[in-house]
Amino acid sequence: MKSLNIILGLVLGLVGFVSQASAQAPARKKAAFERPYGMAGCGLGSVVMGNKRGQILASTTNGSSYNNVFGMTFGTLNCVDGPANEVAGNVDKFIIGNRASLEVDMVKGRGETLSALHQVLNCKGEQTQFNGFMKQNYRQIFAQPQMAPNEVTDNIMTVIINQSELNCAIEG
Amino acid sequence: MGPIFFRFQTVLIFVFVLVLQVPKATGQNHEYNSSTLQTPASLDQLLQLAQQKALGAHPQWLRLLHFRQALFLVKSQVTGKNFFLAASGATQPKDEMLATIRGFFASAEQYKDINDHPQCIFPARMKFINQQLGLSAKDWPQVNCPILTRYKNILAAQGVSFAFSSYYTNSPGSAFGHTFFRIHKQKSEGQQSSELLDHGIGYAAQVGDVNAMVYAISGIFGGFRGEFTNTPYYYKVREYNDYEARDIWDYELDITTDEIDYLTLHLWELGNTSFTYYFFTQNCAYHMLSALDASSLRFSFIDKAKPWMLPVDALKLVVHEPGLIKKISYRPSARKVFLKRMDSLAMPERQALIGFIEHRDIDKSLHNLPEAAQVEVLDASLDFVDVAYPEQTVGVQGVGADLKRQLLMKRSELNATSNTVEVLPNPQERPEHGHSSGRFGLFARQQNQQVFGDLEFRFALHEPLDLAEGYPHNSQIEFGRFRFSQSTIHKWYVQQGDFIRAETLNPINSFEKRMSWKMNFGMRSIESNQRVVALGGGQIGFGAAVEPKPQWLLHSMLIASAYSGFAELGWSATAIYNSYQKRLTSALEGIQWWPHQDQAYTQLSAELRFHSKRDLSWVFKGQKTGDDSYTSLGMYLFF
Repeated sequence: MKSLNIILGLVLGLVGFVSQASAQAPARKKAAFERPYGMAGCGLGSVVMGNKRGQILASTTNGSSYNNVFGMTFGTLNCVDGPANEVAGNVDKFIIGNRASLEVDMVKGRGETLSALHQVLNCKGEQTQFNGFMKQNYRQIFAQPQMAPNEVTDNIMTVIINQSELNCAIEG
Repeated sequence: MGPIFFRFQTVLIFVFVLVLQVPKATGQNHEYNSSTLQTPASLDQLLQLAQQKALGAHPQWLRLLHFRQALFLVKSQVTGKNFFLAASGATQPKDEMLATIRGFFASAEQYKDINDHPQCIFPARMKFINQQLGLSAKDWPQVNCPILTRYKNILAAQGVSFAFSSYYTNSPGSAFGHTFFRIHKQKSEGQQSSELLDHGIGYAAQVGDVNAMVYAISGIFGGFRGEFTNTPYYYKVREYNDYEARDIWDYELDITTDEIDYLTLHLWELGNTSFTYYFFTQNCAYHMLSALDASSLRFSFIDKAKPWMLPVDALKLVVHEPGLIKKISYRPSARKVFLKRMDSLAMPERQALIGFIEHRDIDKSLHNLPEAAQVEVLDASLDFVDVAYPEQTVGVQGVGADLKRQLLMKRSELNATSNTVEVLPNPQERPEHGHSSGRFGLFARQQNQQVFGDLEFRFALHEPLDLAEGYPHNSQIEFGRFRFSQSTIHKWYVQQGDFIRAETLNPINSFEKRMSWKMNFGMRSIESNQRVVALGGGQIGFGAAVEPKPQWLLHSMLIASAYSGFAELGWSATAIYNSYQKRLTSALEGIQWWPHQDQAYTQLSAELRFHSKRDLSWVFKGQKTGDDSYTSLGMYLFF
């Protein structure tokens, strides 16, 4: 299992490294939960197609500026070395693409994005209980107006970590 | 195993090679089939078997290589060199077959990165060869493909949808809509399925940072590369539903597990390479169909297609394939969700919402409202901010983001869980029910006590007077619209020809005050001194529209018009009536023109259409321009 994680980490790291070669890396903060990424950057972690390396964002409509907006705002994830907390890595990626919708779902106490987060966190407990818990903890999670995705993830995982009734497999 | 086996194998190869020399001399043909192969088979045996079965000419092989008739020769449409293992692979499918088999046997040591091994790059070809020759993984050298394996695991494909994002007139590249696949992910145990976590795979042009002219010319004439890309499905939802306020129509395909496997593996093969992108022919829709054709011989979408391909044309081909659509679902845009929520508000809450929209002071709007009402107003206000400031949904800071945060904080203080708002698809908006994309027109025109003929041709797509079903009722999106007219001077001449005609009418309402606009460019002909003179140019107009009732759209615009040597300014007032299901549309328009070198004059026109069939309209039109007038009766046929 551990060697698989290292392989995955190296592969993702290679993907991230090449993709971030031209992007600026802001000062890296040590995240509370280790990510399975390599050294130089993590990128958006979009699934690689073929053997193409690098970020593959949806160039879905010709000339749409949507991807540029995404790219400019979020840039590099603050990534750290170390063995995997793969869930944290997955949540990082999820936050990048879903933050706005997630915040709305959280304060409303329900929604498709909130349900998807439940899955990404590998929670086996009741959805409604999860929703209620996340709503209560909205201010703890989205504590400041401008947060890097991994900071949001760290907050989410911190509030969940000892909630056994949610039954999410989060290890510290 | 041991030494005896290897000696036996060496002897066998020796004999095999000897035997190969014989047929030329004796004319004998040695039949090999998979039951005479030992496991693992040798490279030469497989090459021989593939040649005997003419695998390199098999129809599915040709589809996997995207071979098509192009003028005088048949060649692959794939332009990326890395798609071919043989030097002649792009023109000789048989050579490519043999090179592929050889490539699968290549030793792993040759590749610095094992993911570059042909087995890792061409898994659909591998599947095809295995199926045709009755082989399996054990017949090939063992190669691990980490990135391919990761792709398969992440997709966890158990179903496929053909998705269509609706017409978007704010961007020329999106005016015809867009199509892509949604690959349904297998549910993990105990989990609900979540579409957001599925994957979207589609084909699009790779456009750099170019100006509008280069964008248009390159897009149409093949100046861009086109590639397949793959992202989590939520990116599609954010881009279309949230950022661009577009609906997504989802058509789930009834295809077998084998076909799903072929499709996802072949998309992997295509993801590694590229095509030349042509906006009107080999575009997003075309390559979705070519990928489906490659997945199964029971599809022949490309053969059934018109010479050009609009996304809605591709959608119709798929929808009309008997038994292919399992289920249709619908994702409304953020705008539609907001409108539904606003509609469902009781009067006091709606007043509070409209107040917020005007003064943006949420405390003022929530003042004195009971908590349940505050929840409703906040929910609707959150939806409003997402529609009015779509950029904050992708993280851009500013007025929208600040306002949103304020609302989020306020809402987080209230304990109640929100109600869901369900937006049911409007049957009038189903894209596959729209009239066909091309249009012919035939008219008899009475002018100056004589009768003339008019012929019209429009390549694509729609205007507000056409039957509304399946199209945005307030937009004109037209490419290649021409009118050929008879006259007293010329037998037939091109009276009018527009490359593009576009118009978007945005009715002003309580929450949106957007401008309406129109533009067209092409040519006009005028009769002057017994001759017909062709003039090139265009028009551009800006104004405002209102929709007092769903059937009535009224607008007024200031128009600037310039055609070689003739410039004029116009002011228009137009009323459009659309009865929807009753299939009647009509328009009344008056334009006052001020030419720069002539007297001002008025143009009045009235048009009435009855759409007796989806693809047949009966037209009556009358127009008076200055002192000249005509009436015209005819029909439009859609194809």
